[in-house]
Amino acid sequence: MTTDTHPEKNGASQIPVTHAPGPAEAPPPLPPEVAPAERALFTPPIDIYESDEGLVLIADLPGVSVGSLELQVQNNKLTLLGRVASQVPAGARQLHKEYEEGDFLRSFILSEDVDHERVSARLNNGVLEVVLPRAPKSAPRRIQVNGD
Amino acid sequence: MPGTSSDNLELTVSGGVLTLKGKRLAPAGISEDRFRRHERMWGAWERSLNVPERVEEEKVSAEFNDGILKIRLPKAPETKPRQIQVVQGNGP
Repeated sequence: MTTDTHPEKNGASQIPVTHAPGPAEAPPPLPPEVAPAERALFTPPIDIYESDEGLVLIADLPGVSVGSLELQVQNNKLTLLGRVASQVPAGARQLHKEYEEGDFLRSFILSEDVDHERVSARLNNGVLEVVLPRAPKSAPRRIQVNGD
Repeated sequence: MPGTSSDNLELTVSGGVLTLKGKRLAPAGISEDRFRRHERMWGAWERSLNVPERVEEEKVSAEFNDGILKIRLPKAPETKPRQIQVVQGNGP
Protein backbone atom coordinates (compact mmCIF):
# COMPACT_ATOMS: atom_id res chain seq x y z
CA MET A 1 0.00 0.00 0.00
CA THR A 2 1.35 3.38 -0.89
CA THR A 3 0.45 6.76 0.43
CA ASP A 4 -0.90 9.71 -1.44
CA THR A 5 -0.68 13.45 -1.00
CA HIS A 6 -4.38 13.93 -1.61
CA PRO A 7 -6.65 14.25 1.39
CA GLU A 8 -8.73 11.16 1.97
CA LYS A 9 -12.28 10.90 3.09
CA ASN A 10 -12.16 7.49 4.64
CA GLY A 11 -8.54 6.89 5.43
CA ALA A 12 -5.86 5.86 2.98
CA SER A 13 -5.44 2.42 4.42
CA GLN A 14 -8.95 1.46 3.27
CA ILE A 15 -8.24 2.19 -0.35
CA PRO A 16 -7.18 -0.64 -2.58
CA VAL A 17 -6.27 1.78 -5.38
CA THR A 18 -3.71 4.38 -4.51
CA HIS A 19 -1.92 7.03 -6.41
CA ALA A 20 1.59 5.97 -7.32
CA PRO A 21 4.09 8.27 -5.60
CA GLY A 22 6.79 10.44 -7.08
CA PRO A 23 9.23 8.54 -9.27
CA ALA A 24 6.60 6.06 -10.47
CA GLU A 25 4.90 8.95 -12.24
CA ALA A 26 7.82 9.79 -14.47
CA PRO A 27 6.35 10.05 -17.94
CA PRO A 28 7.24 7.33 -20.40
CA PRO A 29 9.01 8.70 -23.45
CA LEU A 30 6.55 9.80 -26.09
CA PRO A 31 7.17 9.50 -29.79
CA PRO A 32 8.60 12.80 -31.01
CA GLU A 33 5.76 13.43 -33.46
CA VAL A 34 3.18 13.72 -30.66
CA ALA A 35 5.41 15.17 -28.00
CA PRO A 36 7.25 18.36 -28.79
CA ALA A 37 9.90 19.01 -26.16
CA GLU A 38 7.90 21.61 -24.22
CA ARG A 39 4.54 19.85 -24.30
CA ALA A 40 2.69 20.05 -21.01
CA LEU A 41 1.72 16.96 -19.03
CA PHE A 42 -1.24 17.15 -16.66
CA THR A 43 -2.49 15.01 -13.80
CA PRO A 44 -6.19 14.51 -14.52
CA PRO A 45 -8.71 14.82 -11.68
CA ILE A 46 -10.23 11.49 -10.69
CA ASP A 47 -12.99 10.01 -8.59
CA ILE A 48 -12.94 6.53 -7.11
CA TYR A 49 -16.04 4.92 -5.71
CA GLU A 50 -16.92 1.53 -4.43
CA SER A 51 -19.48 -0.51 -6.32
CA ASP A 52 -20.92 -3.88 -5.45
CA GLU A 53 -18.38 -5.60 -7.69
CA GLY A 54 -15.31 -3.64 -6.73
CA LEU A 55 -14.07 -0.16 -7.50
CA VAL A 56 -14.79 2.29 -10.26
CA LEU A 57 -12.25 4.94 -11.23
CA ILE A 58 -13.36 7.97 -13.23
CA ALA A 59 -10.94 10.42 -14.84
CA ASP A 60 -11.60 13.65 -16.72
CA LEU A 61 -9.66 13.56 -19.98
CA PRO A 62 -11.06 16.28 -22.24
CA GLY A 63 -9.78 16.00 -25.79
CA VAL A 64 -8.74 12.36 -25.45
CA SER A 65 -10.34 9.82 -27.78
CA VAL A 66 -10.28 6.03 -27.70
CA GLY A 67 -7.49 6.05 -30.27
CA SER A 68 -5.28 8.42 -28.30
CA LEU A 69 -5.63 6.74 -24.89
CA GLU A 70 -3.26 4.13 -23.53
CA LEU A 71 -4.32 2.24 -20.47
CA GLN A 72 -2.20 -0.52 -19.08
CA VAL A 73 -1.73 -2.67 -16.04
CA GLN A 74 1.78 -3.82 -15.34
CA ASN A 75 3.29 -5.07 -12.11
CA ASN A 76 0.27 -4.00 -10.08
CA LYS A 77 0.41 -0.53 -11.57
CA LEU A 78 -2.40 0.93 -13.62
CA THR A 79 -1.20 3.71 -15.92
CA LEU A 80 -3.30 5.97 -18.06
CA LEU A 81 -1.80 8.17 -20.75
CA GLY A 82 -4.12 10.28 -22.86
CA ARG A 83 -2.77 12.27 -25.74
CA VAL A 84 -4.55 15.43 -26.75
CA ALA A 85 -4.42 16.70 -30.30
CA SER A 86 -4.16 20.44 -30.74
CA GLN A 87 -7.49 22.17 -31.35
CA VAL A 88 -5.88 25.19 -32.96
CA PRO A 89 -5.29 24.72 -36.69
CA ALA A 90 -1.74 25.32 -37.85
CA GLY A 91 -1.25 28.89 -38.92
CA ALA A 92 -4.20 30.22 -36.93
CA ARG A 93 -3.60 33.28 -34.84
CA GLN A 94 -4.58 32.71 -31.22
CA LEU A 95 -6.47 35.68 -29.80
CA HIS A 96 -7.24 34.39 -26.33
CA LYS A 97 -5.88 31.52 -24.27
CA GLU A 98 -6.95 30.28 -20.86
CA TYR A 99 -5.88 26.70 -20.83
CA GLU A 100 -2.75 25.00 -21.94
CA GLU A 101 -2.78 22.07 -24.26
CA GLY A 102 -1.07 18.96 -23.07
CA ASP A 103 -1.38 15.25 -22.41
CA PHE A 104 -2.75 13.48 -19.35
CA LEU A 105 -0.79 11.00 -17.28
CA ARG A 106 -1.55 9.34 -13.99
CA SER A 107 -0.78 6.00 -12.44
CA PHE A 108 -2.15 4.01 -9.54
CA ILE A 109 -0.97 1.07 -7.52
CA LEU A 110 -3.59 -1.65 -7.50
CA SER A 111 -4.05 -3.75 -4.44
CA GLU A 112 -4.14 -7.52 -4.57
CA ASP A 113 -7.92 -7.31 -4.16
CA VAL A 114 -8.29 -6.20 -7.75
CA ASP A 115 -8.80 -8.86 -10.38
CA HIS A 116 -6.29 -7.60 -12.92
CA GLU A 117 -7.58 -9.88 -15.66
CA ARG A 118 -11.07 -8.41 -15.57
CA VAL A 119 -10.24 -4.69 -15.53
CA SER A 120 -12.37 -2.96 -18.15
CA ALA A 121 -12.70 0.62 -19.34
CA ARG A 122 -14.95 2.93 -21.31
CA LEU A 123 -14.34 6.43 -22.64
CA ASN A 124 -17.25 8.77 -23.22
CA ASN A 125 -17.33 12.51 -23.84
CA GLY A 126 -13.82 12.86 -22.49
CA VAL A 127 -14.49 10.87 -19.31
CA LEU A 128 -12.73 7.57 -18.69
CA GLU A 129 -14.39 4.99 -16.49
CA VAL A 130 -12.28 2.05 -15.35
CA VAL A 131 -13.97 -0.84 -13.59
CA LEU A 132 -11.69 -2.68 -11.17
CA PRO A 133 -13.51 -5.82 -10.07
CA ARG A 134 -12.69 -7.41 -6.77
CA ALA A 135 -10.88 -10.71 -7.14
CA PRO A 136 -13.06 -13.60 -5.99
CA LYS A 137 -12.02 -14.84 -2.59
CA SER A 138 -10.47 -18.24 -2.99
CA ALA A 139 -12.49 -20.91 -1.25
CA PRO A 140 -10.74 -22.52 1.69
CA ARG A 141 -9.11 -25.72 0.63
CA ARG A 142 -9.20 -28.65 2.92
CA ILE A 143 -5.86 -30.29 3.44
CA GLN A 144 -5.96 -33.91 4.09
CA VAL A 145 -3.84 -34.98 7.00
CA ASN A 146 -2.51 -38.43 6.64
CA GLY A 147 -1.29 -40.58 9.45
CA ASP A 148 1.64 -42.92 9.10
CA MET B 1 -16.45 20.19 -20.06
CA PRO B 2 -15.81 16.44 -20.07
CA GLY B 3 -18.74 14.28 -19.07
CA THR B 4 -21.37 16.85 -20.00
CA SER B 5 -23.90 15.45 -22.42
CA SER B 6 -24.86 17.75 -25.28
CA ASP B 7 -28.45 17.70 -23.95
CA ASN B 8 -27.16 19.53 -20.91
CA LEU B 9 -25.39 22.23 -22.88
CA GLU B 10 -27.12 25.41 -23.90
CA LEU B 11 -25.62 28.08 -26.11
CA THR B 12 -27.23 31.36 -26.95
CA VAL B 13 -25.97 34.35 -28.86
CA SER B 14 -27.72 37.64 -28.76
CA GLY B 15 -26.79 41.29 -28.89
CA GLY B 16 -23.07 40.60 -29.11
CA VAL B 17 -23.02 38.29 -26.09
CA LEU B 18 -22.45 34.56 -26.30
CA THR B 19 -23.73 32.67 -23.28
CA LEU B 20 -22.74 29.10 -22.45
CA LYS B 21 -24.65 27.16 -19.85
CA GLY B 22 -24.04 23.61 -18.86
CA LYS B 23 -24.56 21.03 -16.22
CA ARG B 24 -22.59 17.94 -15.32
CA LEU B 25 -24.45 15.27 -13.45
CA ALA B 26 -23.10 13.25 -10.57
CA PRO B 27 -22.73 9.52 -11.22
CA ALA B 28 -26.24 8.16 -10.85
CA GLY B 29 -27.14 6.13 -7.81
CA ILE B 30 -23.82 6.36 -5.99
CA SER B 31 -24.12 7.60 -2.44
CA GLU B 32 -21.56 10.05 -1.12
CA ASP B 33 -20.11 7.56 1.37
CA ARG B 34 -19.05 5.21 -1.41
CA PHE B 35 -16.50 7.68 -2.71
CA ARG B 36 -12.92 6.87 -1.83
CA ARG B 37 -11.61 9.83 -3.74
CA HIS B 38 -13.42 12.83 -5.07
CA GLU B 39 -11.48 15.33 -7.18
CA ARG B 40 -13.89 15.89 -10.06
CA MET B 41 -16.59 18.51 -9.85
CA TRP B 42 -20.15 18.49 -11.02
CA GLY B 43 -23.04 20.85 -11.05
CA ALA B 44 -24.23 23.74 -13.18
CA TRP B 45 -22.10 26.52 -14.61
CA GLU B 46 -22.54 29.52 -16.83
CA ARG B 47 -20.25 31.84 -18.71
CA SER B 48 -20.83 34.80 -20.99
CA LEU B 49 -18.43 36.23 -23.52
CA ASN B 50 -18.56 39.37 -25.56
CA VAL B 51 -18.50 38.46 -29.19
CA PRO B 52 -16.39 40.74 -31.34
CA GLU B 53 -18.21 42.94 -33.80
CA ARG B 54 -18.59 41.63 -37.30
CA VAL B 55 -19.72 38.16 -36.24
CA GLU B 56 -22.67 36.78 -38.10
CA GLU B 57 -24.80 35.64 -35.20
CA GLU B 58 -27.15 33.59 -37.37
CA LYS B 59 -24.24 31.50 -38.58
CA VAL B 60 -22.67 30.66 -35.23
CA SER B 61 -22.26 26.89 -34.96
CA ALA B 62 -20.92 24.51 -32.34
CA GLU B 63 -19.70 20.96 -32.03
CA PHE B 64 -18.96 18.91 -28.95
CA ASN B 65 -16.36 16.14 -29.15
CA ASP B 66 -14.48 14.20 -26.48
CA GLY B 67 -15.60 16.69 -23.87
CA ILE B 68 -14.39 19.75 -25.76
CA LEU B 69 -16.81 22.33 -27.09
CA LYS B 70 -15.82 24.14 -30.24
CA ILE B 71 -17.83 27.17 -31.31
CA ARG B 72 -17.36 28.80 -34.68
CA LEU B 73 -18.12 32.49 -34.98
CA PRO B 74 -18.00 33.37 -38.67
CA LYS B 75 -16.99 36.88 -39.58
CA ALA B 76 -19.62 38.99 -41.24
CA PRO B 77 -18.59 40.23 -44.65
CA GLU B 78 -17.05 43.66 -44.45
CA THR B 79 -19.52 46.32 -45.28
CA LYS B 80 -18.53 48.36 -48.27
CA PRO B 81 -18.19 52.07 -47.67
CA ARG B 82 -21.28 53.76 -49.08
CA GLN B 83 -20.84 56.89 -51.05
CA ILE B 84 -23.11 59.68 -49.94
CA GLN B 85 -23.97 62.05 -52.60
CA VAL B 86 -23.81 65.67 -51.74
CA VAL B 87 -26.36 67.74 -53.49
CA GLN B 88 -26.35 71.42 -53.93
CA GLY B 89 -28.51 73.03 -51.28
CA ASN B 90 -30.95 75.78 -51.95
CA GLY B 91 -29.87 78.00 -49.14
CA PRO B 92 -28.15 81.28 -49.46
